[in-house]
Amino acid sequence: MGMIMKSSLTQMLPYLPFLVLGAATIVAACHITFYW
Amino acid sequence: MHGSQSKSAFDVRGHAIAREFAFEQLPVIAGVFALGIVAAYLQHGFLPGGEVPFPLAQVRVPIWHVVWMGIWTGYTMAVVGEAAGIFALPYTMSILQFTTPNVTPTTQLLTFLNPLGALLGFRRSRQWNLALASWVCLGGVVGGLIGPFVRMTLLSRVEPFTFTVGIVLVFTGFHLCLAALRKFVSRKPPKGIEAKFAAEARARQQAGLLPSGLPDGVSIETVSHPNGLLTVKFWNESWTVRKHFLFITGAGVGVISSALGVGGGFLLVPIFSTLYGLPMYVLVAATIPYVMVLSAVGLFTYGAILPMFLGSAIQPEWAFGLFAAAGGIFGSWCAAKTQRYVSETALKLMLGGITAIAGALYVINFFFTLPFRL
Repeated sequence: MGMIMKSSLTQMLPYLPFLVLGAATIVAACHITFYW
Repeated sequence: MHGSQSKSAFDVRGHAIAREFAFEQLPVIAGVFALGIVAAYLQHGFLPGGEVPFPLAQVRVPIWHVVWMGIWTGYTMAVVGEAAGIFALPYTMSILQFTTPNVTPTTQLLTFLNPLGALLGFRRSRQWNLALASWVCLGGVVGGLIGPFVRMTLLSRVEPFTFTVGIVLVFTGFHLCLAALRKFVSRKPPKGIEAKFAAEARARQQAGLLPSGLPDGVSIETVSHPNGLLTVKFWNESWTVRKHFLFITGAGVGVISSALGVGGGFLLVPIFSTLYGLPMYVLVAATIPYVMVLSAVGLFTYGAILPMFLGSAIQPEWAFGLFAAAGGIFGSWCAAKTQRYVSETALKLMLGGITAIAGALYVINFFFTLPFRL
């Protein structure tokens, strides 16, 4: 079970930058909505 | 057979990474974050964040958002090989609306602390050469002393400042796109260090080791330094550079970078790689110490030298910078550990595109007022 989780995590790594950038966009949009 | 070998390698690697994070990274990250809290109480007497605005920045932003900004800028920029300042600066200005002059020393605090992990890492892998670094850094000292005066005179108002940041962003954006496209277009096999790196990585992978690419014994050696010239050798290849060129480049890049509040890697890396053909593995020995020296001198000039001439110091928002740096150290460490799984070309194109568009908007906004806030 642990091994399956680990290997699927490794498979996700190539998409990490896009995940990070996507999250950054959402956080920025929320900040603009609630703090500006 | 091969499967079980790679599984055990994965387990060993997982444990090693967890240990490295717990003993080397976590104490530094927690320390910088704690320093941020202490700095807030020392500078303002209270902890800003959320509904309480940062006094010098004059913005309301939750602390976790500042840390997150450090993480994502540190991560993305470390993956494509640039310092975090060039992304953190426009985000701080446009999204967080931190536009007072204090933004410059604040991002310099971030660019000072961010490369710490990289510096220790490269030192350990012996990508380290003081003769090469010292001449660029000396130039950086001169640049860091001049730049803040440019900021407080020519670039003191928001409009010319954002205009200059815009030009820098457009340049960086195009440089990133060009680097990605060049790699995409040239289908020729890599030569020199790149070819050796690829071959070594393949060999190590086949032997069940980490595909790190650099063999253990390799380091950047100084071969000779007769008057004015410096020859360095790395992995059986050598490069000769002029010391006064290193110094002048360091000083010129330093003036621009410390006036804006970025690290300088965005200019230094393309200059060194195009003019001298230095590979990334060698030029980091000069650029990483350079960014730290320049940021430190810039911070000192803003805080201690400016008041002697212009009457008032421009202090960084210490807590803001330290919180961002805590995230930045974590982000760039994540990048160092996961970089080999990521397609650099796609990311460079995307980041280059975003950076160039953001920069173009800043430049256009200088001439015509755009219908939205920047």
